[in-house]
Amino acid sequence: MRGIGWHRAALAGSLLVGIMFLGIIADLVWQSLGVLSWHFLWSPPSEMGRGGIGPEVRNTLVMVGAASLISLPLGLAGAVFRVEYSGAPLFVKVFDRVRFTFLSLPTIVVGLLVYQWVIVGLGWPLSIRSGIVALVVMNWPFVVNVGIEALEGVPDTCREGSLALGATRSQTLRRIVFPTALPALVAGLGAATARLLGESAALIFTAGMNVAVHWSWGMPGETLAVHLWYLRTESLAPYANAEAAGTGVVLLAVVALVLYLTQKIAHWLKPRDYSRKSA
Amino acid sequence: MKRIGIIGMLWGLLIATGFYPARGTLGVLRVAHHVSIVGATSLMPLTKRFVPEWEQKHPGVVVSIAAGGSWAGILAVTEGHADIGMADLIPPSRLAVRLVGYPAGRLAVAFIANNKDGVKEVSESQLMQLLLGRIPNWRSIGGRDEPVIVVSRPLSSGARAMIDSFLPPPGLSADAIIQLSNGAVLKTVRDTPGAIGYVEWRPGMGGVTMLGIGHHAFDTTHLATWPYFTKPTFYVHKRASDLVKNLAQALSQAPAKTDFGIYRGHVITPKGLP
Amino acid sequence: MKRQMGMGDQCLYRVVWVGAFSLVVLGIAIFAILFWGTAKFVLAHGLNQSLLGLIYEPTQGRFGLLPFMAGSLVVSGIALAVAIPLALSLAVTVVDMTPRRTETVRQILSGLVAIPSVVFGWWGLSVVVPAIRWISGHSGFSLLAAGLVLAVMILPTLSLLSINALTRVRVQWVEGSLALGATPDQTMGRLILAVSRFPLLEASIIALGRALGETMAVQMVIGGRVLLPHGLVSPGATLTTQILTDMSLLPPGVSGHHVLDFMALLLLAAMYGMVVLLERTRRMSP
Repeated sequence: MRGIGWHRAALAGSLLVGIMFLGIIADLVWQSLGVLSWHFLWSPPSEMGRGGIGPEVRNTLVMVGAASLISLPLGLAGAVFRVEYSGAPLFVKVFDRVRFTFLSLPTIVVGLLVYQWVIVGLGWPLSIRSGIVALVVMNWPFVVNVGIEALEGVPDTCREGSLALGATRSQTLRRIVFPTALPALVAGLGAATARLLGESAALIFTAGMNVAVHWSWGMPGETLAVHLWYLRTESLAPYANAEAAGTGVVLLAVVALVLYLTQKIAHWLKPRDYSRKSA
Repeated sequence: MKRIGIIGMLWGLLIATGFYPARGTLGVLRVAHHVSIVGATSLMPLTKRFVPEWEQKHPGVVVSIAAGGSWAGILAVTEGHADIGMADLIPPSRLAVRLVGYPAGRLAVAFIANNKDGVKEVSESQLMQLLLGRIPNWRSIGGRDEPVIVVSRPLSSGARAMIDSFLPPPGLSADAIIQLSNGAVLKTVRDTPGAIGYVEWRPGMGGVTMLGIGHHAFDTTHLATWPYFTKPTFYVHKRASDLVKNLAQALSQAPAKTDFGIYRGHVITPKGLP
Repeated sequence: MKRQMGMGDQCLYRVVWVGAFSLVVLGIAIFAILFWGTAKFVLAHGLNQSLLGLIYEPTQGRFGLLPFMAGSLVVSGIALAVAIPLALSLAVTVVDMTPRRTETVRQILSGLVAIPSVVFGWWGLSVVVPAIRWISGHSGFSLLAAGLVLAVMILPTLSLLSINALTRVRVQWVEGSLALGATPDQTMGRLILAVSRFPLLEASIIALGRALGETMAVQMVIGGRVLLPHGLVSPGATLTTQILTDMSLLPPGVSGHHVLDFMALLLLAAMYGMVVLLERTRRMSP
């Protein structure tokens, strides 16, 4: 076949990309093999010997869970207003610009601002709750975006039909729009959660870089991503490099699990008979 | 709708498992005191090791520890954002009047070079020239043909303050690679041929050449005669409660401190420190 | 319309209005706070010692930001220059696949998008930095290392968006082009890529935004040197990494703290510029 030279080059490029990512993940797993064990998953980190990442796993789950929970209604409200009511054109324009800029705001800037407001302004300690505030600020525009995309995926004919039958706006939203948009919403929220799980820059100066003996909302809360950074750059613990790789593997596993579960749930929620008829 | 209910329950369960350890929160409501410690990374390991012991003896008190650097520690205490500041630099006098310091001893600052540099000992003026960035190649002081790469800490570090205070202006070479902590400097020097840097020494640091300076060899069994050191100190506010002062004092006298390189120094003329 | 709303509707409307409005308020508050801090900083130190300065010595009152702006631009530039060809080749390969396989590739890519940036930083420290050290003879901590790490980091996002752009081209057009005797390469270059140039531009802008805003992966491999970089293998710093480094040196209340606001405002302004640019490209795409 003639004229496929560029396609061949593209194929080579794609193979290179595939090999590179396989290489990164294989390298990470390979280097972590020495430390991965139940002991590593459960026990607290140690500066002197074989430590673990138990408190980091806990902090990550608690902080990301709480931040998702808080930003979900905040984000959804914004999305519903933007799609279902929208308001004045000027407001829509401002709203969109603010949300896109906010969305691409570097997370270190979020960290700086939350540090100024919460740590210095309110006098909170470097703690789990300050970290949650940073994560919520970071996640809010992302959830708004996810919500808007999910709601816009619902065809207007559904809304019109419902309203024509005499349902109110809120009834339409609750009975028609939300159930239809739910699969996309769940999948999008999975992506949002995965993004929070990997966050580190916004947390270093808000949640701190160590774990405390006792648990409370006011305790410093190092997450997995921050711990990876700490181990790979600063820690002098004897197995720091292997432990960094191990932390990376656990972090990737949690991210993959969240993505897989939300995808599954989204698939399960799809109204099957409806889509079969329309197809 | 049924499915949504099930999903809701699953989601709730997921969140609930996340919050499971948060049962402790209820306990915290009954906690009488919360002491927060912020500051130098060089004192973090000691503090982390000692605090649980102290907490055992003081039921009802919860201590949180966070890093941030010496400078951040001193500022946090003077501004009232933290109870105890760990620092290995001397606070400026306008801040010092508000503080009480509990000195822990001395922490040796070792000058380290990559094993491939081929130099084991330099004179004090050579050290200064190296750190100022005026010696471009190790060859000129008898080492291998490797360009000199200075590795340093940021300005917020106590060790950096000590180095800057004994170098003539403009201070440490601006051409330096900056790493955020002691450990990162050690790892960078260990892995980079041509590198020179400085670390606050503690047992377990290895893989690099500890440079002898002038007629002083860096001997870990005779740290007390090593002229380069910082004075790690636990600072509290003058008006701090007795509990906080007790913790700061206990920390500064913790028996485990020798495990982390902190020693009692003899009276010798220190370099760079007033 | 509004008069006809029942109690439930009224309530819902108010709640979502408050939600949307507070997002806008928070967004504008962020801008206002950074702007206020910057204004104070500029009034105290002037522009010559900050925005236009080359020397960064915060304890001596010199806050030259040019080295960091240059660092940010160079690093994101390298990232885009490396990532765009790779993402395009992946997209070109994937478009010709069956829809089922395309979907699989998409799923894999959206999984890779979620890889935390510290993992790429870890990879950079273990692979990229030693490799550059070995090849160049310098320390290895460099703008080039940071650019390569960012290139790999933005690659999944960029590929995903490029695939979306290319698959949107109509099948009839492609078939028509091939039927008229154009080779697959000609069809790709003159039809598919030409038609989707604006969506591809959009994808690059989004990827640029991610690269410009990344902190940790860059901090791990860039070396943190505060002078104007003199080459690709020289260590440097970006606006984001310098905020991270100096947050503990210049906490609020210290003279010079607002230089951090200035750096943050520069980043915010860059992001705003990109959003406006995106609006323009979207309007131009078919």
